[in-house]
Amino acid sequence: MDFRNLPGNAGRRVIGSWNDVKHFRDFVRSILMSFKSLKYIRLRSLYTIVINQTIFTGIDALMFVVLIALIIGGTVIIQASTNLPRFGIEGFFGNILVIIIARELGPLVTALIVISRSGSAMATEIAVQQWSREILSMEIMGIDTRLYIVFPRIIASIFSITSLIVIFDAVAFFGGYVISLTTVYIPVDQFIQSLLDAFSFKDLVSALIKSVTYGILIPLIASYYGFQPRSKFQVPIFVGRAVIRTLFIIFVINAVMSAIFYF
Amino acid sequence: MEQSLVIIDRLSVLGEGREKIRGLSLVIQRSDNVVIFGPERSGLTTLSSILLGIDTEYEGNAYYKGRIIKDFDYIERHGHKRDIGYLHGDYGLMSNMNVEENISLPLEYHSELSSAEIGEIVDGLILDFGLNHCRTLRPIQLSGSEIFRTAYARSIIMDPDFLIIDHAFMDHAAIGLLPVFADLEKRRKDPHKATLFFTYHPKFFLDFADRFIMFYKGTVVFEGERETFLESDNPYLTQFLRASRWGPMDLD
Repeated sequence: MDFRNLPGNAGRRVIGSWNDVKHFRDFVRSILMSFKSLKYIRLRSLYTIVINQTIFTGIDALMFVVLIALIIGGTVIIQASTNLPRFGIEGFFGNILVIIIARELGPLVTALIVISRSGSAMATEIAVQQWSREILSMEIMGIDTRLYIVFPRIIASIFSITSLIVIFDAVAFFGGYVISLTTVYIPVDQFIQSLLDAFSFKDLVSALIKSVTYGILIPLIASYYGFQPRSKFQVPIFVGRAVIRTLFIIFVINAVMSAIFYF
Repeated sequence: MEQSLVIIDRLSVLGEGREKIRGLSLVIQRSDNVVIFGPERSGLTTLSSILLGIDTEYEGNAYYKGRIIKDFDYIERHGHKRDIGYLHGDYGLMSNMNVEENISLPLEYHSELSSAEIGEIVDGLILDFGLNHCRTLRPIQLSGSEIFRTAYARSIIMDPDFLIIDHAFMDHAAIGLLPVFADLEKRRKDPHKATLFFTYHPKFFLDFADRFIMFYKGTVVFEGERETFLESDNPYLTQFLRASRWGPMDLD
């Protein structure tokens, strides 16, 4: 490695990243611009896409989300119920569960599942349509592709992620409780009461805002990279970028939101 | 009713360090069936993009139904594309949709017709173009001519006044395209409709076109009716049709 080129390389990377941000901003603008077309199109053409995407992102992912929620819920409950008494803070049992599962892991793990499953699929589908000129063909038919492709995916994603987070939390708490009974015994009324005491309205609002934010960002970033390929060999490059950058952005946003709500 | 569908007025396009089109003027009337041909890089694709409103960086003007294409706003640009039927050689069928869904897509998106009415129109086209046996199949399961017929049916489902057929047709057995030929023949006789063929194989369209225009380096080097096209000794046309290296065109 030639270290003399380091400042130049770093500069190029910064400029490259800045250009990426500008392109993404233009992409978001084009999506907003496409809302103008909403009143001229028949919503039935979007309806089928919303339904299909909701089935794929929400319903098809349900079993996997339930399974992961059970594993995580069980693990956290076993760890909390066995370790908290050692430090004399077993009274915070419900708070710990709400903090770890409802506030952080529920939204984050659900988002990770959706990114790795649906985000990558969305980016791949759009990228393939892009290089095979299907998107060009739609544009030539007068179809506003920003609206037709991205908007229904955002709607489906918001709905799916919100539902999956609620299901994840419920399964992690109650399924996890059942699993934890194999190793520790916590009376059910005590378990439920400690959760109810720990839950606040802020937790609900935070979970809802996270769901909507992830629901918008995941399809938006996946679509952005999906629209980039100009040749077949670029498809995996942009799909990879879509997944990695969505993961990174979701982690950052999760941290920022937690900071805003709870610090 | 405006008689001229397309007017190209002193159009010049610069790009890739050369003049893609140079001072082109051209009128396409309703009832015109025109073949535009020429060697690669002669400006066919550029003109096609301009007519569709995709390319707006040029000097001069292109009018469609009396309106300047590059002045269309965001919504008008989509409306303009909807108004033109377009069939490209790549066909661009949606791989995740079956034949029926591909054909109905423009109507589903643009029209105010009910689903039942759309279904009726699609059924009609499916029967006309001999696609009933494969109506629920996706493009990957179709033969070449079935793909072509599906794409053609989709391109005319909005009943366009102006149809552009861009480098399509050439890779299929003619016998599989008979329903398309019949429809083109019907369009040819309709005084309100025009069809424009961009191609490298002008002779293929002798039965569907009345006017032939040859481009070379962005300018018109030959223009004439069918008979003139067949009998002309225009050196550009002769060189092109004979695929000869000898003539006024430098193809290196």
